Amino acid sequence: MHINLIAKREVKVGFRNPWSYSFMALFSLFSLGLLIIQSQSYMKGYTYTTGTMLNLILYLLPLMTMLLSSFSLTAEKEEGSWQLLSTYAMTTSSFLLGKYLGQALVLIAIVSFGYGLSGVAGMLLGKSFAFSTLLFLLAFSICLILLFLGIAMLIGAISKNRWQALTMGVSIWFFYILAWPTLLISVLSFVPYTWIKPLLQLATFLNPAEFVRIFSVARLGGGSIFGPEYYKWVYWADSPLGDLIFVALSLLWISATLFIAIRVWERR
Amino acid sequence: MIDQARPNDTVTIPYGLYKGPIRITKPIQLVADDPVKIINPTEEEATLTIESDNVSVQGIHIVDKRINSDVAALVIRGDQNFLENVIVETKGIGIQLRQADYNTLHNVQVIGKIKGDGSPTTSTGHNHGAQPEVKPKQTEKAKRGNGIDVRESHHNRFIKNQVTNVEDGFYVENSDRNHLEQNLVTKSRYGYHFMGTSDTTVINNIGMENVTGSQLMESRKLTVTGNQFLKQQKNPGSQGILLITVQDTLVANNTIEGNRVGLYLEQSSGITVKNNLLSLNFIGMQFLASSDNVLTDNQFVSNVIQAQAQDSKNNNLNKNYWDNLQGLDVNGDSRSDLPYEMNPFYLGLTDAVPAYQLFFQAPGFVFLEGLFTNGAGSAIKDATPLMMPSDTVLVESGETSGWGAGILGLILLIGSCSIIYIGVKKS
Repeated sequence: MHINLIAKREVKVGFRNPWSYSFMALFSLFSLGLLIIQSQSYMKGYTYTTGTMLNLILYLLPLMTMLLSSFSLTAEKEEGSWQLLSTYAMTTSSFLLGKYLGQALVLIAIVSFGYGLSGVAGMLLGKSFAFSTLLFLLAFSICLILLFLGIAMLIGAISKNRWQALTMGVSIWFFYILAWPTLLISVLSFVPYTWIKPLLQLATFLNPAEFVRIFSVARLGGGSIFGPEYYKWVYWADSPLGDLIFVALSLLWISATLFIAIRVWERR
Repeated sequence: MIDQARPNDTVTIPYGLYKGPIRITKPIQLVADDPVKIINPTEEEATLTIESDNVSVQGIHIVDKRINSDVAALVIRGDQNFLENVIVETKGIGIQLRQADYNTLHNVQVIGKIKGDGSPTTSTGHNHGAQPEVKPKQTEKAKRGNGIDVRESHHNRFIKNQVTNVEDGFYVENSDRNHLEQNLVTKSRYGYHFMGTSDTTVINNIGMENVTGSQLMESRKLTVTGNQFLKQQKNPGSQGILLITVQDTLVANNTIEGNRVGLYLEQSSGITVKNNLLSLNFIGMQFLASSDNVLTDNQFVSNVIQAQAQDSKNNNLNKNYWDNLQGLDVNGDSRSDLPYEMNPFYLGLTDAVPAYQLFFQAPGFVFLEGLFTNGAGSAIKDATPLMMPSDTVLVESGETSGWGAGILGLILLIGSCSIIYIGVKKS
């Protein structure tokens, strides 16, 4: 079981990496911040606070995931351990899958540590998250991690060194998180009016941050805010079928990015 | 028995199940002390029709199973009648008032019996911009009727009635000076729907989980105070209170909570909105093409977006409390010297292309909006927002059921620590 071995090694290397701890500290601080935000306000369903929290997580987590994991891949190239590993009878796919699993475990551990800390701190201070909120935030974060980890693998496979990975990671983050509506609005202003909605929907499927966000808002009961245009969507998202579609879409995303990453890696 | 009664007699109906239809044409008192149920075997007629003045009906239970009929289960065509403790189960319209004045309905319950959520999917409320109605399936399905349907009837009083699962809870058309107090409408399309009315008072009523709590259209001189409009959010066209082409109306002391859009004003003027609490709505308030209104002393708390406005001029906004205000109080009068501006960007964008509503609160969109607000000088703003909420604001912090989250936190903490430990440990 090469995948297993690689994943274990990845977890080990991952937690010897000082970057992991700095991100862990950052995320713990961040989740304590979320705790303070929510303790001042009402949290059930989709409110100003929940919306803000989702957005804060959307700013931080994808960037963290992409940087940490793509660095781990480029490190293999820079430090020459891949050359060593490739002398063994091991396929690229099991190598990258192992990396994916290991990194997922590392990142989830980091996030759990942050939320766990704020959960416990909240209990001690008597101003805790509601159980459902904490679980919701955790699930939301894990979804984001798993999806962006696929992209991170791709970045790591393409770039030659950390600098390239950093540049690419930050650009993708900027593109998907910050510039996304601006770019779409400007590009879609050139297409006929009737194309806007279908193209926008298609584009949304191509941005994991967006579809995770929309699905989460719908699950929080805020789906109607997207207007009558998306009534059917939101209706689905709130039903068991919606969960199924969401999981399928996410799996499709992860496997597509991983597949391309493997191809790119093999060509080198 | 009713036919034999003379005017002004009191008829006590003994316990039992009766067959309608019943038609009352003289002023009598109909009292049921024990449970009395009246069913309706006919197709056209109402179960109970009151065609007289000064009739009083108490304590009966009407079950009407006709579907898609234009005639309600109970019809009133006279004046100064009195209904109390009446229960109406209907598959169509509950109670109709036609050219009937000075009637009182007290503690009347109308229960719609059409199954399936019926409406939220079949009827879209009002939404600005393009409005592709979600089409209901056109089969021979029973449609919900209005709960209490009032037309050309004036000076009626509706106190402590309850209406659930109908089309419009109260539908009032071309009727003046009616008074609604302490009523409750749930799970219907519109809670309180007024068309072309004036001088109507709506006090201390509740609308909950309807498509729209209160829909006021083409009306004048309404008084809407002390009401609660809660959780109108499931439908993409949901609002707490909606005012379209309404003039000279007072909206005060209402609690508008958990709606898709709390307060929506379109083409309305002369509206005074005062002392309302708008909280936990997705959008607190939307202003569209409305001018010369006054908004003061309202509290906007924890709405995902507090307020949006477009094409609205000459509105007087002052002394409202916005919980996300970045204010600055230089002279210590507890009002901010920096105004609270409403952003027209989202409304303008989605008005042109409704599909962009998908960007609602997307991180990038918040960023973009920020770029466009700075220095844009928006058309509508609160010149003197309050720094602190006035004493009435009370949105309780979420129920802090600390234990569940604490234990989950502990599990997470232990889990991640053990992964780290196992990872780092030399094998």
